[in-house]
Amino acid sequence: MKNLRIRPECDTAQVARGPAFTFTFEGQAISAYAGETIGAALMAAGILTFRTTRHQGRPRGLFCGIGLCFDCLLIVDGIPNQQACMVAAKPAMRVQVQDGTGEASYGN
Amino acid sequence: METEVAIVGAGPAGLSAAVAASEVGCQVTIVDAYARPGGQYYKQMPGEFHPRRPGTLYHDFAQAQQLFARIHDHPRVQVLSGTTVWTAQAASTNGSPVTLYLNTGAGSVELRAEKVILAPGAYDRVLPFPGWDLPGVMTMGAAQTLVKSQRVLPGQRVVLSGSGPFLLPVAAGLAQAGARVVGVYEATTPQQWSRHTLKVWNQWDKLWEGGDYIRQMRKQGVPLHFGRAVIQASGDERVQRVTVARLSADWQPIVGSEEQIEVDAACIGYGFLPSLELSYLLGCAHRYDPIQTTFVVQHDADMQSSHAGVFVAGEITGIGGSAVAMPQGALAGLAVARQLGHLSKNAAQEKMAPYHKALRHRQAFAVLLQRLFQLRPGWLSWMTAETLVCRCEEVPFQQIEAAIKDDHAHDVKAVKAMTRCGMGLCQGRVCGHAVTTITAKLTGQNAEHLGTMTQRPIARPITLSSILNSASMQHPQTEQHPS
Repeated sequence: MKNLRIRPECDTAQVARGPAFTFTFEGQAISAYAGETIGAALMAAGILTFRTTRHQGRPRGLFCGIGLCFDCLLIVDGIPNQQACMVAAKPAMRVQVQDGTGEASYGN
Repeated sequence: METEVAIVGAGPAGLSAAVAASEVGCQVTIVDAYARPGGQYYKQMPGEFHPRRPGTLYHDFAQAQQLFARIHDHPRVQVLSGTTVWTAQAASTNGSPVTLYLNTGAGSVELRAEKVILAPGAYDRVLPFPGWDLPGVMTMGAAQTLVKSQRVLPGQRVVLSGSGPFLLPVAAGLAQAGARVVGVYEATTPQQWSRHTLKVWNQWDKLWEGGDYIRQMRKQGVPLHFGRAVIQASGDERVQRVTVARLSADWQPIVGSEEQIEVDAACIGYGFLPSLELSYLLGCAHRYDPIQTTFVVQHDADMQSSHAGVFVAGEITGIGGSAVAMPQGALAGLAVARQLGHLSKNAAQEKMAPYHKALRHRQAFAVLLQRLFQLRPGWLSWMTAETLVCRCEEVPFQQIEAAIKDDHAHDVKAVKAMTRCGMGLCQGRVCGHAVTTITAKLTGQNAEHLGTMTQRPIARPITLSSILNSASMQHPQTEQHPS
């Protein structure tokens, strides 16, 4: 799998990440480190599409990255409209692509 | 909850205000949307990450550390992290001059305050172009947050396009972190700047900082181009290539100059837009700034808005960066302390004088930068009929055009009502500027008179269940911040 995390030889701040764990995205195991947002962990794995739009079904992903644009929404443990750029990844989280409003998956 | 001074935003302006007010005796509560204080400029890494060489993280690391240290464990400073203000009320029925309604994530909480200082900051302005909604196209701020705070690259082959000094630190940071930055495209040109250059020389420290980034970019082999911009992104389900064109002086793409570049990420930013939701909600007066092509909040020399008791600092007064935000925050903090009787008139004046002086100097530079990187109207021609202007509601340019030309929509509110532009979850933050500019152009009016999408009763989306949870949720998580 792709890994876009900054490599140690390029990291001037020499950052030690938090403990590693996995969560699932559409059933696929994704590795993450404590402190990472869901969006960052997915981007690091080369996954860019977090939702599809409700009219035209267009793919969307991280855009503003600071919690304002609401484009990076996905479904987390069955709850839609979670901002990938703001919500921290947690071990065993179940993350899914949000199609449209995500209402179809409510309660699943 | 009650507090003497509520501060919204824990960036350079909010933190400076908190330090100034608390050190002379005010009880301060800072409300901040993010997990840790710092705002965008001093964005911190997650608490679980531990930098062994933190000194490389910010250009002015010592100043950041000092701000954090001065609010950390301060007995009169409470920081509510991960908390947004979803609405606000001035002079309400409960007797408090200002009430902020907080979304803690677990419910809504009232925060009643004697005075409020708004320091909510700004966000990237992106101009719409074909393909700008493809995954992999993101704001420069998003790219910087990914790299600086999350330590993840937005892609392996990255292009940057936009205008303004922010291009440089983002490009240098990406290259240093190991991304291949295939090109940095600044839409303005040094020739266009030349008539302003003389005024720049007394700001040598800021010039030095800019020069530093350019040296880092050279070292990493990052090409910097002027008078060009990314005008299209394309790819299958994600950005795979961008079209870059040379621009005329008013930013019309020059026919025949287009070139295609293979990329897996495109970072775009044309300066910043102030977050004005709360200043509108609290009834503050705003003025239109034709250079920045946005409204900004009005204030007096003490940083008080037109609404007594509501103070403002930082980017919502006009984009000026941390060098303007910090003295403004300090002035607001001191003025609030004076009004609350913690400082005598003379003591306040004495403490404020150096900040007034610093502010005059820095503001002159900020205004100069605003002029140098002013948008030129030719960007409107980057859009095709199908280009989405409103990303949330998927409204293409042609629909706005039809609303104005065929259905006689004459201002922003009418365009919004007819097309649903700005009715999505971002509440017009992303498309508001473009919709206003398009409406001004197609109706032949001045943007100043067209209204804004920012005036709404709810500043940030909140779920109904969170509002209903308000009774059971009296004590939000209070996080004292970082090491």
